[in-house]
Amino acid sequence: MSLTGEKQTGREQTGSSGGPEEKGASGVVALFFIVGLAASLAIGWIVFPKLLYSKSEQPFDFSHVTHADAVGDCESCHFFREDGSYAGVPTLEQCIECHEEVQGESEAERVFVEEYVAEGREVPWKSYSRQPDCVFFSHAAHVKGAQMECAECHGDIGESESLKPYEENKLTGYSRDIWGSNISGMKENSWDRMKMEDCGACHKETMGSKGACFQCHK
Amino acid sequence: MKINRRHFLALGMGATAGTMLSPLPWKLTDDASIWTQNWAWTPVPEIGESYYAGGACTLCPGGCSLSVRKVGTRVVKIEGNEESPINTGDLCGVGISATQLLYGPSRIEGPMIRAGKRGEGKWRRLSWEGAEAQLAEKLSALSGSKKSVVALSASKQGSVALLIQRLLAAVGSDRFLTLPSVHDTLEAAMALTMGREPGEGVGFDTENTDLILSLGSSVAEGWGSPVRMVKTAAAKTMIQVEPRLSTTASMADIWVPAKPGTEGVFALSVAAAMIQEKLYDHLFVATATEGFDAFSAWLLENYTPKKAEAVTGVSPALVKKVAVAFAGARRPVAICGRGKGDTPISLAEALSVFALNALKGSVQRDGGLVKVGAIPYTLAMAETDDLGAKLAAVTEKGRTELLMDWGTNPFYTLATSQEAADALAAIPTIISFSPYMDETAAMADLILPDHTHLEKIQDVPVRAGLERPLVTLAQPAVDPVMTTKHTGEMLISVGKELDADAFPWDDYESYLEESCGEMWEALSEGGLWQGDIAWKRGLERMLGTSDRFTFVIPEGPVFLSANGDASRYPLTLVPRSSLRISSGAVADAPFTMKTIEDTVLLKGVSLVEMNPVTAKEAGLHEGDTATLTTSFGMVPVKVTLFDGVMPGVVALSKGLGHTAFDEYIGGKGSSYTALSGAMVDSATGFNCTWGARASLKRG
Repeated sequence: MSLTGEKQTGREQTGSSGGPEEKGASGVVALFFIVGLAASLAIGWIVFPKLLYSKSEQPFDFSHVTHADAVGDCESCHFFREDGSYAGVPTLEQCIECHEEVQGESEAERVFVEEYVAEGREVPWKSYSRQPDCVFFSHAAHVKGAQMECAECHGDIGESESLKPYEENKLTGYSRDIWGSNISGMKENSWDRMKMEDCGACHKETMGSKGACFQCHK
Repeated sequence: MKINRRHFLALGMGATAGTMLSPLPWKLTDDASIWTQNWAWTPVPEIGESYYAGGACTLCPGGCSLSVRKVGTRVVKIEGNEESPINTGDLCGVGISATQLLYGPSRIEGPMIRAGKRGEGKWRRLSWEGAEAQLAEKLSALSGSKKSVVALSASKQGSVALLIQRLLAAVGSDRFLTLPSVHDTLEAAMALTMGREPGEGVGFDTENTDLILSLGSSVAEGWGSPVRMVKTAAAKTMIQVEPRLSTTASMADIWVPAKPGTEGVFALSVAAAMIQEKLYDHLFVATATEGFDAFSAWLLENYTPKKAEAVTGVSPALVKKVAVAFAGARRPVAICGRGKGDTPISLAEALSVFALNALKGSVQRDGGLVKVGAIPYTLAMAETDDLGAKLAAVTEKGRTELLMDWGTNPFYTLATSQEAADALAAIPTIISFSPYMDETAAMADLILPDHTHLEKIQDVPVRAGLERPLVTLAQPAVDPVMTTKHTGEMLISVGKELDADAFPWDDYESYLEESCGEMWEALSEGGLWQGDIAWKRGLERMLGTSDRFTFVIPEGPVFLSANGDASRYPLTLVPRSSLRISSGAVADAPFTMKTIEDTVLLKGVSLVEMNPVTAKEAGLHEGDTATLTTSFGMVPVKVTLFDGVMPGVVALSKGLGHTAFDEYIGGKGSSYTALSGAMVDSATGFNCTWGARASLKRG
């Protein structure tokens, strides 16, 4: 009972704000907040990408530099067919033109000739740049029509000495290169990611409009 | 320190804030949306170079040429061939979906013999040598009992049809049968009015016409050559005579809702009005026809618009309006054959339509009803006499010992009543050459499956009312998917066992080339042969002596009345045609089934259309479950109300209710054919059924 005769309220019983004990308790609460924040940031930025993507190697290594030096340009192997459609990754038929016999001494060459050329088996290349099946994309419209350079979308792949591991999105089954290597979706170069917004941004810039849905989603 | 609720809340808030600041939720949302658009089980064409193979569609008589798109060894899409004068690059949904028939589960894997009870679905696989030996044995065992062997052929002419006819001849039978269509009646009418040589057909030069008077023909829903006729319906002035506001009627300039089955009477009333009003082509009638006076007298005595009104229900004013429009057009043509034209009409009705065209001079000229020359096959075929009677005998018990079916599926197409179905099932030996497990194959004792039209080379003579003779060439776009064999090849092989002299060829391809003769060069190079038109044009027509046209007074009834007791069956059942429903021997592919609207088929149940007034009288409402009964059978249906169907008439879609094939095709709705019964034309013996009396009871 107080001398003033005032009845203590429940709030007063638990102590007023600003006391040392109170500060300590708040600090612990803040600590819990920070732990939660840090853990989820770590999960979101570091663990999640590792879980989302699986890494695998290509069937054997390949040097774009060596081939570009030998054949001259991209279109010698990545050509357009007579009907205007794009042939994409070369098939065995094109490779055999030069690789009927083993050339050089590399392990990759040996694997290619022995396991694929000799047995007439197509190489199951994993395509870094293939868009999902719900997307219609025409190389002819971009390369032949709009005169775009390969590198604008594919970067410096033509200067690579070896093939990087293929990262597959476990949920969608598509290459990591579509979203881009930066999990935040940020990009520096035009070829860093190839999502719908990237298509739209380039179309907006060059054609004045992002285009209609059905142009790509047939 | 005590850890309490506040600490957990703080941890949760921190985790939430951190998650929102990480890419996890945004990336997962994006991936989930991509995932839902790319299910692993969604069929997607292989990646690779695509190219085209030629071909011909045989799913209806239309004669469309195909461009078959392939990736690697697989067919991925069927398109219309741009070079075709018939379908000029377009194709209907049924033709497009044939990829699913090619690869679908209704395909028969190889030759099989029945191992269980008939229709039980138990089979034992045979080698092709074994299966052919079985067929030869069954045929030679019966060769003594002449005429007890029947063969049904998808085509009346052509290389395979001839082989079937020769095989029958080898065992002493002349029962080579085809499913009759309006063309069988038209050819009989042409023989009487204009003369006819074997092989000649009847065509309508709809390309050059300016007005089409359609007497019940579903011009925009599959009559004739469907793709071509859909375009024609949209481009020409159209008068549609039909008891129901069909798609064709909705596209027409004038819709005449005549009572079901009375289209022939209506044609005669228009002809009578043209004579009464002196609207007919006097010059043509005077110079190029015979028998006009007698015909005219008969017509004016029996079929004046006023008298016809009692039968057709069409007012004389509307008849006159049609007569004025028909006579006023430059090159009009009257066409006939109800629905898709896949059911014959009575000879009297065909003669009425011929007479109507002749009154306007629309015979043997541009835009008119024309004679179509015979296809110049080097190996001639005999035309079957008394086709109507011989067909009727197939569905009479005890008249057939052995039945062979090449693409007509009689257990679906000829089973017009329970009695007919029972008679077919009582045939001791049934042999099917179908590539699909259709209703007939399912009831067969021996199956020697043919290739599909995408797997074989074969001539396809077109009988679709075109203005000139035309043959397309089916070509193998893919290697056979199953262990099937070309029926032509099989028939040569089996035929040699029975009568080596009648089958002197080494293989089908050399026989095909010989059979096609002068047409082979065009067929093998362009996949299509077309003959010249068989009428004179312009000045040549005016100077030359055209074939004379004889007006023939029909002997039999023009209007065949529907069977059944009117008090027990107060309604009249008529079929509905749809471009999306194949009503022939082969059912729709699964994709096409999916395009059928909810007012036709809903959750596996067929809907019958009825007028709201009729429904009110019967106490029925939209969506009610009911039983549709005719003298020939009964089926469960749902009711859908439609102001565009005549009161007292109920319409059921034709082509549904398959019981065989596979789970995606069979068991969907009810078969109109099974309820339709027979309406035999005494002049031809054909079943000309256009409908049946019916009752519709709730429940």
